[in-house]
Amino acid sequence: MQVFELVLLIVSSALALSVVSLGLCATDRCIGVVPLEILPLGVGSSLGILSLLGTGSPSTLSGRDILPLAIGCAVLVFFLHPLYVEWRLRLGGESISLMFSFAVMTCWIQAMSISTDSKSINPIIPEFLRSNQSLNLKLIVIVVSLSVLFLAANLSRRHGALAALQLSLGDSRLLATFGLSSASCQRIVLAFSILLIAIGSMLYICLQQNFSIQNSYDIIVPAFAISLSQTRIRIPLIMTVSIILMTGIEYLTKVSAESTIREVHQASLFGLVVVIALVARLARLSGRVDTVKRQCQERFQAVLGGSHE
Amino acid sequence: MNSYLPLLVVPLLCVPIQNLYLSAGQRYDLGAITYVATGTFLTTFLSDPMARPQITLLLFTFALLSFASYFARCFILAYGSPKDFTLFTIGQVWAVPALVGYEIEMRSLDGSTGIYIPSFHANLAVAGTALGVAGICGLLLARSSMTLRLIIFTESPLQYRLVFGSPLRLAWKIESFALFTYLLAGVAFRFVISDISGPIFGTESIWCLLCAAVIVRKWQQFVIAGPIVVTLARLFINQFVDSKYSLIFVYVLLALCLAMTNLNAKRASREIAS
Repeated sequence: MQVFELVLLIVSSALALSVVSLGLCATDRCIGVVPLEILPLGVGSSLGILSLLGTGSPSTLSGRDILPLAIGCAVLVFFLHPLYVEWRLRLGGESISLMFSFAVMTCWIQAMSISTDSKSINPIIPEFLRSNQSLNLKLIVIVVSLSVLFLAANLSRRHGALAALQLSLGDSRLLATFGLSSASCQRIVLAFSILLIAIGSMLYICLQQNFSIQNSYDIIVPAFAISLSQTRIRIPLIMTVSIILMTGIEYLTKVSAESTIREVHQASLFGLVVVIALVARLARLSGRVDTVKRQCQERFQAVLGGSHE
Repeated sequence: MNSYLPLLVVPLLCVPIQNLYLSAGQRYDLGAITYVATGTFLTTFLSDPMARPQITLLLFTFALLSFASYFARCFILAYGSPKDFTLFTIGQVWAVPALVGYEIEMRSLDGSTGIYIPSFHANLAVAGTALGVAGICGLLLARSSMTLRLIIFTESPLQYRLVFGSPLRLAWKIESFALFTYLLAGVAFRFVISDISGPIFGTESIWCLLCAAVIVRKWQQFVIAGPIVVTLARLFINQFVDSKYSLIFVYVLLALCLAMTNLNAKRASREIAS
């Protein structure tokens, strides 16, 4: 039973993080870099909304403390995102945009942490969901996450927007084929991403007993790592990577029997994901992936042929 | 003055290699902290026999981490883009301060192992030596072909491979130089600090990066001015800003510095950028 609960915990948190990662992947494909400040915006707004639904006791986080900063962050994102598009075109652009974005994100998390006095929220969840080791809650998170992912995939496929998005980074003129302008597409994708991050964060926070803005790195680090491992937006792959990553984090935390070292595990796995993503990219560029795929297909066909005979 | 001289040591020693990574390689290195912490713990291990039983495992952990980071950084430097390198170092800056804090708490070290208050003259001597070593390192880098090769490799990796062959050799040389310099900075750091708690290492990486970032790329001959400007900024923040807001100020400074740098950068063609 314990193994089943652990599996359910891993799958539910991984799927919630997949929703966040999908938002990051979308901005990455559209703008070329992930504006990291959309993460505190998404996490902050979800915390604000959840705290508004709470009891409002003085010891818990109040929505009034965090929502003004989330709104301020939204304004900042609105003004900064055209700069990233421009900065990518400058020498050393991707690196400098990333570092700038990282600095703004850290600033905003610190500001939110100070303004909330590091208070945490205790999500108000109905008692029947909390009972039975929160199995019902985890199942609901899984169902909602899968629905959001399915809806996002379906919505983007139906309108050809996903294809446009995948192509827009290489040449924005291709967007004209789909009747979209580059600026409006970026704005829509950014809003859509923030919405996805807020929903994913809210689902993740619901699984926790307590959550403060300082814990937002629990969402930010794995979600960013998952989005880095993707070269194209493929939802099954995002889900697979997030389940593998969450299994790794949970396993390391269980082995070390220390929850305080969890952020070290997350950061180490983040570094590992960067290296693995690079190896995968090199393998694809050198044509080794295609060769292996072809060999696998040939062997599979040979096995099928053998079984028919 | 005695308490501010230590702030100068690590940035001074790290500025030549930070400058190489940033100006020649368009890479932001926030991972200096891994090697600096290893150097500091190594010095504590060697200089304080009383703390040896507690610090052995801590040193082993950091030596292992530095070893893994060294190979990963070499590989990313040789085969990845500047963005990949920057991303990996962001992971380092997330992991190391948390690991230092955790290890010190777990090993029941009070952070003031082998505590001693360095005198003003000792601090001045270490800072002066650091200045001398930084000058020599800068001179060595300027006379070597590493800077030029890293520029060529970053601007056109394919042409670099055609002319010079595998970039692994260049990556190995640069990263070994970085390892040596950062370890040395860690050793020097131990001589001027009186405790080794987690927050001491917290923002050291950012300050090292800022030292190279504040210098406009056209004014490379004034590279040594970077650590001095940055130390003055640190002094200002420590003196006038409430400690709970200090981290915000550090990152605001970094963001402003990057924004100013990028405004002056040349616009590349769309093909290069994508």
